[in-house]
Amino acid sequence: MTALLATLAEFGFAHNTVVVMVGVTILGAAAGFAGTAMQLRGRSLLSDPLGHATLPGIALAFMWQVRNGGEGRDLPTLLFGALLASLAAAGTMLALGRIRRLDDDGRLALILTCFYGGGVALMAMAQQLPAGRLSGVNVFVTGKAAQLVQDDIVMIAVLGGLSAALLVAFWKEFMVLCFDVTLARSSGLPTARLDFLLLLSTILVIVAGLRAVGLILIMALLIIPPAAARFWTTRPVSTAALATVFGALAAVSGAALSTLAPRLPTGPLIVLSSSFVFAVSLLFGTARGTVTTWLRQRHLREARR
Amino acid sequence: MTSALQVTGLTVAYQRDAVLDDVTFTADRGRLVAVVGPNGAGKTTLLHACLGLIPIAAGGISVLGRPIREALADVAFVPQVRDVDHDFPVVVLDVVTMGLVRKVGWFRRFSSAHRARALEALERVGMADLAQRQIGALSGGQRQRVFVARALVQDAHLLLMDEPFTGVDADTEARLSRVMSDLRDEGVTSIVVHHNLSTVEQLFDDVVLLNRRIVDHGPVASTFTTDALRETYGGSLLVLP
Repeated sequence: MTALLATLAEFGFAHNTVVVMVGVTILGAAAGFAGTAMQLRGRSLLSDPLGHATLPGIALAFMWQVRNGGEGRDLPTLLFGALLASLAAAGTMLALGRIRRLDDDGRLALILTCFYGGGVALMAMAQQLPAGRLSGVNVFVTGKAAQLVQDDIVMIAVLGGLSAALLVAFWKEFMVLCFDVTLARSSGLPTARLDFLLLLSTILVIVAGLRAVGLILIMALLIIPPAAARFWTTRPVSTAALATVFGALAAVSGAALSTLAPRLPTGPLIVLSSSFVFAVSLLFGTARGTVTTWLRQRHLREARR
Repeated sequence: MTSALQVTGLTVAYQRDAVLDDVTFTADRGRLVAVVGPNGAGKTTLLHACLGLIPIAAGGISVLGRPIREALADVAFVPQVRDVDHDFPVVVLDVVTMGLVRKVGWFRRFSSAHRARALEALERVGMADLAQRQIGALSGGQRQRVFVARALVQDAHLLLMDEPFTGVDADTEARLSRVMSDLRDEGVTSIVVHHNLSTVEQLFDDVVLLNRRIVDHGPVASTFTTDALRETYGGSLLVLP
């Protein structure tokens, strides 16, 4: 990692810029991959409550550290708290899924508001702790990519790598689960556990992205690149591969834009560039882009003349 | 010899009312069995129960003499085509290969041998030339054939099918019927939810008349009678001479 940063720095990039670029690129790629599986499972929107649910975990991890005599700013501890809280949300979500009376939207809204509301309340409590320094912890809501340091990249790489490893290891089973739950269950696959692993792969990306883009905007990186990829291909593996590339591309171009306009925050710029990738895909995607389809139909019409 | 499927006193309830009430019947090996009954009779529920997909309130099901959980590898299911997301980015060959997911096992990829097997199954239903077609780009009858091919690669001894003949053209019907009779000759038992009463005699050996409970079951020749049908469908059955 250090060697890579040194090489890039030789090309005249400021060290700090390079750190940010590499960090968000890895994050974007991991989000595109995990987001594809979530989208194919028809659960894209779940990344929203799972992201919001990290807040109470962060607040609790902060308070726990302060109680034990720290300042409350140890990154791994905070992220671990976020991970546990988001996992709790995922577990609650899957458990509530067994109740027929509650539809998916209702479930989603319930989890999102309960966890996020709880998180805001806990943050307010954390603010009142005299020994703690909450200023650096607040950044998790909107993220601050410009402040990424080398340790953050390592964290992003580890968490993103774990997420990707889970997806690769269980890809075959995930695809059966996504395409046809009945086949998965009647083949004897442990569908509940697989669903949980799928959510875990997304949660790992959400936690990885907390420092860089925050718990709200990470949703864009999980949803938009896979959605864009669908316009180019009709195979699951190539959808995932394209979404990974699109995610990385959107993240790195957003970060690059923010170095040109330093007063604009990186997170929103990353979201805007992934929306741009989506717009291009929507129009020109080779599988079902609107312009592509229109051209094809015109071609057919002319061939009949 | 143990029977292919033995259902004893099966009762299933979603809420308070029983969807299936004390259902008992046996399907012997190497038989083509139609499950016939009005909408809401619990036909799909019966298949789902036989796959272990839903909790049963009372009774038992044994597949090839074993409890369902131990026999899942020997059972294949063909769902109603409308139950599947046809916008999903997979091609026909991917769908059929998925049938092998358990046989391949954890942490291993589908190999070219697995794909060759899938292609062979597609050959059998006459869909090999569309193997690379996206699943959404197929007609209803073609999709039906794909899901039958997926069941074929599973090498099951018991085949459960939910309305495979609904909305398919004569060509598909003939081909599916031929596949089913070939399978029967190989000793495979097919339990098929079927709606078209006029083709029961021509396509099946046995029939199960179901309306929440068993009205009658047995060989088509002796069981599939106007009186029995009238009892199954209530007064609403119009019998044409």
